Amino acid sequence: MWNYVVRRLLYTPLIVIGVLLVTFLLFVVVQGDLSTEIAGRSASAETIAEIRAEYGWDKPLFINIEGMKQHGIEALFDSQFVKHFVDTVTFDFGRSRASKQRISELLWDGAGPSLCLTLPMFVGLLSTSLSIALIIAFARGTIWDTILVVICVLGMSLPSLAFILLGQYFLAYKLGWFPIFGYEPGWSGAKFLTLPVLIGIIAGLGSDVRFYRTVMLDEIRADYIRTAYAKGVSTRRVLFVHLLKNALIPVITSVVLAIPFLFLGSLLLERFFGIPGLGYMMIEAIGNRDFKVISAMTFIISVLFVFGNLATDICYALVDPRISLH
Amino acid sequence: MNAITATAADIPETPTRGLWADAWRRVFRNRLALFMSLIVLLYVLVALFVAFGWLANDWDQSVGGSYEPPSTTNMLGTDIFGLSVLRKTLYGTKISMTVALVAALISLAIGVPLGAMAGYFRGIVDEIIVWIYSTLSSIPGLLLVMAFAFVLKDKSLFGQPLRGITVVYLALGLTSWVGICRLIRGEVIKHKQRDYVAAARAYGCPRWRIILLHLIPNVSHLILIDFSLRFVGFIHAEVILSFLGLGVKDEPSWGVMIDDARLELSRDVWWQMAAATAAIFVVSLALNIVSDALRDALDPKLRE
Amino acid sequence: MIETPLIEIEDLAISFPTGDDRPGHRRRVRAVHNLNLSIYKKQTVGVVGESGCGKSVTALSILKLVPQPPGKYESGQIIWQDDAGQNCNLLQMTEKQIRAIRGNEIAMIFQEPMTSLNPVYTIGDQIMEAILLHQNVDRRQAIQIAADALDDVGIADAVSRLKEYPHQLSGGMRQRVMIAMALACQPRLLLADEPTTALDVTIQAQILELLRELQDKRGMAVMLITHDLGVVAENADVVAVMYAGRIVEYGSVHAVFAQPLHPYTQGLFNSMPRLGNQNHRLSTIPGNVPNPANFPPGCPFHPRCETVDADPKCSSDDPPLLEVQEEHWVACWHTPGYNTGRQTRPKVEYRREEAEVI
Repeated sequence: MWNYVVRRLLYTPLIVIGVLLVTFLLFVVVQGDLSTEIAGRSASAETIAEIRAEYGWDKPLFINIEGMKQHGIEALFDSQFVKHFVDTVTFDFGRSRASKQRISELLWDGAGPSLCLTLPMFVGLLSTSLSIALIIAFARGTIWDTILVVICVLGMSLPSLAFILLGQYFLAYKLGWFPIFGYEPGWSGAKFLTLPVLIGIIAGLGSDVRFYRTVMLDEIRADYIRTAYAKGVSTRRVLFVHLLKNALIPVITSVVLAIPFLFLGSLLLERFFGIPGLGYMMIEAIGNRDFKVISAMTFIISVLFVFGNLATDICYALVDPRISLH
Repeated sequence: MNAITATAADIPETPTRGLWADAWRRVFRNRLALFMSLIVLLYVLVALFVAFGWLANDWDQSVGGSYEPPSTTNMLGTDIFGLSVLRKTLYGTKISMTVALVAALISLAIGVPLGAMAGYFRGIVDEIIVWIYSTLSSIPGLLLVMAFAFVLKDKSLFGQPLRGITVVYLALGLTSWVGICRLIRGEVIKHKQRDYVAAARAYGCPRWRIILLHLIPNVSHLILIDFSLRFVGFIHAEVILSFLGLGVKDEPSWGVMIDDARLELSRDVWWQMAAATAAIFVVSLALNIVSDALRDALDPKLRE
Repeated sequence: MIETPLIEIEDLAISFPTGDDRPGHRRRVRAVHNLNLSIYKKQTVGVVGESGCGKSVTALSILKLVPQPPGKYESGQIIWQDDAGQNCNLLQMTEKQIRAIRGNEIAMIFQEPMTSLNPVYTIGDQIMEAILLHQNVDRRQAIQIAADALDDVGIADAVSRLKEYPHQLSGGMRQRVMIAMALACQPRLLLADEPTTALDVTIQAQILELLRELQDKRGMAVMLITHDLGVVAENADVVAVMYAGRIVEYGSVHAVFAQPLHPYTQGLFNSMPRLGNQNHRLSTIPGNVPNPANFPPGCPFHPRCETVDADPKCSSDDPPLLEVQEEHWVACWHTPGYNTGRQTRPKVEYRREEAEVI
């Protein structure tokens, strides 16, 4: 097992380098020089040159041969790629164009509200969908199973925007059960978060229940379940001891992989309900063409995701004895 | 009945039938899936009619006052500029179908050859391809699509500025080939061990021919299942991208309509929202059911 | 004195939906149709038939393991003679009562040893689960019993093997583990559903030999389900030939092997390779086993029957199982003496002497 974990650990830096390359490719190579756009139409040549120097657009992409000729060998690496690499690895993402705040601070401030929204949503969604899936596993083949599957497919077919808009319109605006918009830190903020959390759970329920139902039904038809019954094991023990540990393997995947998204928050929910989390920031940044913020966000979330992946694999190794073999 | 002639022909339900023939029979027997495929076909026809300019090409002509509720003259009402919501919805169908189709084709065009190459050649080629898709799949999907759309926006390709819709399908296509690539790679590795590939190699069949003519056809059903599953995802992604201002501009798409409707709802103008949502809902539902039926019919794992 | 059977299946019928959900096409078919079968103490009853003929469903129904829904018990009873000599109907038992029987009085082993063990638990955990459920012992004693059980099935170094996971064992070893698990509570009846089909030929012989040995030692009865007449010839005392959910021929292994009466049984024999056979080609039974959703009317075998010429009766009336000779039952309109056959419950007390080979 340790062999496997160590191998996965060694692969992780390779993936982080890959993510770095992707952000470099997108936000430096494809993005290109935006100095004229930033400076505005009536800017002087000096202002543009200043901006180019500030963002490093005056440097070559990979290696600086001109610089080496003038300033010696160490200037060879005075390039956009090396700058991007060093900045990103040291988490020094510079300042936001719009608010002039340090991006690392911005990200840190945004994580809290995002977690306040997504953590209860995640726990609620997971426990609800798992319980419903287990109930379906009991009731498979009956009319209840069919009805629940139909509801799931209907729910999956409605776009998430519709859930948010309709929920906000009817429950907050028309019926006035919840505040429409706003956020407060601490427990007093709960009244603002209830509706987005509820909408998030309901919007996600369709696909989650269907996924866990497939997982459960795959397992419940397995031969070892029949063996357990033939031994005289009770239904409850079959479900919770034999089936659950096997079903846990795909469940762990979806759970661990969902955790990095908790930081990003639910982009659209934050936007609609005015929760100042990372998702809200991301949408703001898109509006302001604040590419540094987007680049930093992409990198940070991806790195979290990479470690989520690693955690999944370690959990696999703990749950599934077969892993140690290959 | 003569004993000799009383053979297989007299016995109904012989279990020897080809994969596709059997799949076709299963889908056909599933009345619901059949009905839903007709709905999908209807959407495709509407999209084609719009594309040929026979339908809704006058969407930018005002047909009445601002925010007229649905009536006999304007079945789905009008928007703020007095444009027909019905025409906008029909036009959005074209946008949506184009985005989903082109994005799916792009992702297949990248994913299938890369997957086949990785699985067939293994070694360093495999390592590099696996590294690329492991990296891409480490970046959360929506984030990656948004990042792509963000940088592609306002760029030009071959001297032509990219249109909003082009940005959307490029961003979706370039980011979503990982799933099919991984699937094809696994299948090719599995099929490479089979005798028919060894036989083809034995009579000197070139490698590209083995991949193209022997391996790909044997995994084509997986490609079809993946394609149909992805379609719904693309339709929903277009809505979100356009809504975020990263997608379609200057043309009505379902995402743009929902974005407009966000502010209209507080004035109780619900028809634009309802029209766009219903259009998305019906086609997603139909596609979900059809892809389920396809998977049931084609996936050997689910066949007894 | 007439001996009472250990278990007696009477008029058992089990149905399943056809899976065709079109309105007007929804109906149920019988996977098992009016089946009668008896097993005496220490006896081996071989149930033979092609796949899909209802053999496995019959065995599963004894333990009430047929999934409901979709399965449904339409009629019949299964009379079990418990430890105290009392008769009880297994089908009438509550979930709790039948659980006390499963794995304890009646155990079962399955065709696929590769998938029949739970992959995420050690084999020790899985064997001990049955022991702890049915016997009043503590964990340490359970470990000892489990180790002894593994020892009995010929697995060396049993104590350390208990800590292994199923994927660490070969197919033959896993089937041994399955047998150890089934026999850990000293059941009086073992249902063996094609226990050797998934194994290599050499391993097959070993496993069957092991089963025979353990049966003699424990004095248990075995219901041996197989599609292999050779396995039946070597192991069974009584043979029941099944086709399309029915028993079509029933009798002692001597009676059936000496003179197979049903055309289907004859077909099975003719398709078996034999030493000294002058014909170079094996004969086959034409056609396929009918899909349960489309059982033909009349005798279910008539579309494939080559032995008898067309007879309208074959395609209209389903022949009942009749005793046409002493302790030899058959269900075919064209068997000599069928008209005078008696409608009796098929029961044969015969048990072969040890080491008697046909």
